Formats: sequence, C-alpha cells, structure tokens
Amino acid sequence: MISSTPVKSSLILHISRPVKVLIKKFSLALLFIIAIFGIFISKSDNPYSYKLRTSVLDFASPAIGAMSKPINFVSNMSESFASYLFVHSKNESLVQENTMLKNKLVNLSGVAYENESLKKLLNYMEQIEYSYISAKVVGNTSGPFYSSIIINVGNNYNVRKGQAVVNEAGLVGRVTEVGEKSSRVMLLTDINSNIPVISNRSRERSIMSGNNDNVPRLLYLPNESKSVEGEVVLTSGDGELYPYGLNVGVIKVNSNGVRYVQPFAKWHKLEHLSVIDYSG
Amino acid sequence: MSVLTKAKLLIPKVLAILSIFLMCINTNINGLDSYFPAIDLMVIYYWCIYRPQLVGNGFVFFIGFFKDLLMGLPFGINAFTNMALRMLIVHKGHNFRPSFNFLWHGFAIILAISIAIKWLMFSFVTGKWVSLENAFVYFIVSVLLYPILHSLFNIIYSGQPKNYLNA
Repeated sequence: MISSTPVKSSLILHISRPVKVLIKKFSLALLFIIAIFGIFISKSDNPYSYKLRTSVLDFASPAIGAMSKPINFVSNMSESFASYLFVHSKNESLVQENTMLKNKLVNLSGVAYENESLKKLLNYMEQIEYSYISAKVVGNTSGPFYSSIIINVGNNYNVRKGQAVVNEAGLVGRVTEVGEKSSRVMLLTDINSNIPVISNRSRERSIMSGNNDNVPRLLYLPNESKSVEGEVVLTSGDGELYPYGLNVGVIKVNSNGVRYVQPFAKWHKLEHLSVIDYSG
Repeated sequence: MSVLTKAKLLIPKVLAILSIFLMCINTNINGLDSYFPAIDLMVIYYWCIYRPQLVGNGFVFFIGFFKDLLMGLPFGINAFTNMALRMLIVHKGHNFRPSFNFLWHGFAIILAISIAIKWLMFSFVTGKWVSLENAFVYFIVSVLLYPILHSLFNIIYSGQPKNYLNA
C-alpha cells in the first residue's frame, strides 16, 4: 500500500504532462471549437445558459446604470439648453396644437357618447384589464445587428419572460430575459422580433418583423392590401402574447409598395417604461 | 516585479473590460446607441499590435464571451470574432513599426472583417439575411473615432514599464 502511492503519482504525471502539452498546443483550436459549440448551444433554449446570462445581467446592470448617469446628465442638460433656445417657437406651435386638439375634442365627445350607447346595446365585453410594472432603463445593449435594453426590474417585481413593454408613446418591445433585479427587453426593431399587428382603419392583420433598421417590415399582408401610408398600427392581440390595442406606429409605403412601420417610440428617449402584466 | 508594475501591465485588460461596460450604457443621444463605436475592438487591436502578450487568446476569448453574455447574443459570436482578429493582427512578424496611417487603415480593414464575420453568423443564427444599414454607420463612426482612442492608448503605452515592453 505504501509503495503504490509514488507509482500512482508518477503514472498520473506520465499521462498528464503530454496532455498538458497537447492542450497548450491546441488551446487556440480548442477555444475556436468552444466558441462554435456555444453558437449552436445558443440556438436551443438551454436553461443553464439562460441562468448564466441572467446572472451576468444582474451582476453588471448596477455598474452599467452607474456609468450611464453622468452621460445621461450631460445629454439631458444639452437637450434642456436646446429646448430653452427654441422656447418661443415651441410655445407657438403648442398653442396651435392646443386649439386644434380642443376642436377635435368637441367632435369626439359626441362620437364617444355614441360609442358607449352602441356598446351597451350590444352588451359588449370590455377587454381584459392589465396592470403595469414601472421600470427604468439602465443600459442599452443595442448594436449593428441586435437591439435590446436592460431595465431595473426582474423577478423581484414579478416580471416574466414574454411580457410586453411600453412607454408613453406606445409599444417598445418584450421581455426576453429575467434576472433577479434586472431584465432584458428585446426592442421591436430587433431581427428576432415578430409582433402580430392590425391596421386601425383597413383592419388588415399582419406580422411586424424587425430587421435591425429603424422601420420594421409588415409581412403576410393580403395581396391587394388596402392599408395606406400614415395609418396607425396597433397590436392585434393574436397569439395572446401582447394585449390588443397597444399603439405601435404608422405605416410607411416605399416605391415598390412594401409596407413598413415607423414606430411611435423614440429609441434615444427610452428612460421610464412600463412592463404590462397581461395573462391573455 | 513590483505591485505597481503588475498593476500597469493589467491596464490593457482593464481597458478591455471597461470598454464592454461602456458599450452597454444608455446615452440618450439620438442614434448613438445603435451605432456605438467598437471601442472593445479598438482596445484589442491596439494592444495586440503593441503588447500582444498582455492580451492573449484566452483573454480575447473571455472578453468576447463576456460581451455575448452581457449583450444577450448567441454565445461565441464575439469570442470567435475576437480570436480570428487576434490571429490576423499578431501575425505581423518582428520589427513591425507601422505608421499611424497604416494602423488606421488596418483598423478599418479589421473592423470590416469583424462586421462581415458577425453578419454571416447573425444571418446563420436568425435564419435570414440581416440588414447592413446600421453596420455601415457603425463602421464609419468607429473608424472616425479611432484616432482619438489611439492617442489615448499612446499615452497609456508610454506609461507602461519599459523592461517588459517586448516581453
């Protein structure tokens, strides 16, 4: 028994040395193989890789948030300064807009009354109510081939994967990763984003598909589409992932007749968002 | 080797990690978030030319992997790209004393290769051809910003311990 230990250790050394040399020699090839293997692993929804991602997100989001603060302060200050310079012209345009909206309101109050009466007559069921979870944007992880942001709420506020995220303008995206204290939101311009939508006048249903540029494309429209430029696009509620009626954007038509959506959300002004707690 | 020397030799690594965090900040500046310059690649490029031993294959793999995790990208896209670029950059031979213009053009080529690799990989992962519109602006912004970062790295490089410059 006593004599077997040095024999064993020398055997281990005998085997481990060439293995170490081999690993050193082929470390670069090994790293390349790991990287390629990782890409294939990512294509499947692996729970371990998801856990790793969300842990890194939780670890890094406070640091990213802290680093964003001074830059946000400077950009907000320059914006305030610019708005101060144009305060008179802006005031004039706001007064005009206010007068126009007042006139519209008078016309719409009659329509609203008529709408309520018709709903009562048809015993119309109101859509399911949903609650909001307020969130702050702490980081922007967008790049030339991907569009996502990091928000400061996660499991601690009962955020769940797949929930829609909106701001005051309309739909922004949906939650794709949920950590303990932070989550990732895939923006609707991301290449992986496909949202069932409906145009508000022509009532044509389609899928709004992101392509990493600023205007997602409308797919699966009828051949003789009646939707026109400037028409508002809303979520259709199909698939029960997003609630019905969230504002998305306006239709743009190019010279080939291809329809795109100009989102209402301004990507550089994403600061305070709401996650919609909607159960379909 | 003193603690200070060791700390100074860690600067390129710290810069690379910091650049990943910087790329994730929310600037609130119109368009900048989608076209935020490739400062991580600038760090790797510069230090792989002047001090390749400080940013080894393992480190550039780690940086790429960390970026993939933080940006929510498929694992390995940036790790693969970083290693491929490091291979291209460090195979430059001895007594390599390039001019700034040469390095600037070199960076533009390396960035273009990086964009091409990522574009192919993203198109493979998503199953459709990804738009190159944003990538084009990202390329221009990064190339234009490179001289500023290069000057900053030159200052840091001049403060590096001389005994270990060609370690």
